Amino acid sequence: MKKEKRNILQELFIENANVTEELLKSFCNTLLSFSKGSNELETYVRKTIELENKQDSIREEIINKMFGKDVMVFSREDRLKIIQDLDLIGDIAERTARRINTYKPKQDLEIFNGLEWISNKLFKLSEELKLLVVNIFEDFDEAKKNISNINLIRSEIRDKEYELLKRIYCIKLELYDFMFLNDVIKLTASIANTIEEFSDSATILICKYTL
Amino acid sequence: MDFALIFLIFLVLFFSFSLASNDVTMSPVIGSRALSIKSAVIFGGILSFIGCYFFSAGVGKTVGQNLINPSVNYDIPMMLAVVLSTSIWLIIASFTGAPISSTHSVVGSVFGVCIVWAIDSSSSFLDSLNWTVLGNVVLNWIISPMIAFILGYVFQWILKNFLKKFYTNLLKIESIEKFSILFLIITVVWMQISRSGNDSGKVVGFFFALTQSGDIQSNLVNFLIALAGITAALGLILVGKNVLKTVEGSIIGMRPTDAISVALSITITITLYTALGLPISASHTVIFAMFGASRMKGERPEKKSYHKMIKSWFLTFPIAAGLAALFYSIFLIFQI
Repeated sequence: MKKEKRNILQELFIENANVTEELLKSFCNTLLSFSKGSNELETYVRKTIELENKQDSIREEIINKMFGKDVMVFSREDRLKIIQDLDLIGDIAERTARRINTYKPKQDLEIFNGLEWISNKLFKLSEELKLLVVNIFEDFDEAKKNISNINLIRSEIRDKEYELLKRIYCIKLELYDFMFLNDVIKLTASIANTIEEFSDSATILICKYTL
Repeated sequence: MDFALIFLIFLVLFFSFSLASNDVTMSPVIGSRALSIKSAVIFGGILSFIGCYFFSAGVGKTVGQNLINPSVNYDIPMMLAVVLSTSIWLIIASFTGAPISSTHSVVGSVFGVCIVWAIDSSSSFLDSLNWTVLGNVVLNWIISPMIAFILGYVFQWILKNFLKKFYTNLLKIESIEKFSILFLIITVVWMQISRSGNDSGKVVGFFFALTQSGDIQSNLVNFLIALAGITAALGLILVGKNVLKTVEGSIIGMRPTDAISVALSITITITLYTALGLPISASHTVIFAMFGASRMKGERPEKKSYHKMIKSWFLTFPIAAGLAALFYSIFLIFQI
């Protein structure tokens, strides 16, 4: 298939998707560092925040260009939806990273292994998300596969989320530890949920623009 | 030139201005963002002039000369009655939001004045009109929307099936749609010229009638047609943009490929009938072309609007005839 030439606005969309993937991977490293008690936690938190700011500036640039001459065929509402959804994913990741950095709870092996497992899954999810955005522009058939993979991974994360929540309710944790881990588990899972919601929007977009 | 003649010419030119001010032919290029409203109306104005000056004569002769038998003295009071009744019915219908046909209105008005003429001159009404020409015109009012519907359906089907295999990603869709803009502009140019030619025929018909009655010299006709073209252009440029702004809201975001199938079917239908010298309703052609394209996509027209349109379609001819008969009777009573 001959590859179509992208214009500046489309390149910005792809760049936004790349930065979102980087941001999510940085968050995954934050979660991993937290789970393993690594000293690099602060570094990854800072990096996540920086990437979120970068994502915001790309978003602003896209919005400015959308009302300029270099306009894509698909509607402004649909374009805005894509960048707002990616921005939301980045926001939640940044908030969660900050939350992780506020407190150090007592170690529970099962919970921390669970968080490490979620982090690895989120890593894959971030790659699928980036590919989804690229394939919306380049190949609808591949985009449908990305959507399917995202749904599958999100479902697995949800199962693990409830497993971990059950655990923190069952073992007798101190109040602050309980509140902290409850927040981290739910916020981390909400990143996956938001990515899945984005994939639902992508499905609607593909249906709308194919004949 | 006497006052009545000058007044008639002025009224006819104003009729040309008002017809063009309600012309939404350029709306597809605005809705698909191919051109801004300002560029579209200026471009459309130029095309209106071209259509009027070069392509209105055929329809003009049918309406202005061939429809009425030579035995009828189609004089200035009759023409005044026709212009007034058509204009007034157009305004009334515009207030109610019903898309009516100015063609049906003009022909209906001619019908009405002929009835009064027959009564006044104690002649046979059947001898006043050329029934073959009238029958041909009325028959094609039914056939032309059907042709537009079929063409709209067929073109939409062709486009959909041809483009399906190419619509595999947004980049491809974008480049196809951008390329289609060029094709859309070409189609709309053709559509504007042919629609203007057919529409202006109703205006120009009066000038041909005036040459037949001897009220003006035949060498003045081209000059008057040019004036009609200029007033049509001004109507679109000065007032038409307001109508297009209203329409823009409902069609913004229209894909060029969607607009092409509709525009092509309208253009081919109107060009065919303009070439045959037959006046048709451009409004009904547009509406039925859109129905055809929508039907292909599995959409149905909204019932209330559809019934309103059909009702006004059937009412136009008798109401225009009635109004024209009334005005002509008044002119006869007061010997205008």
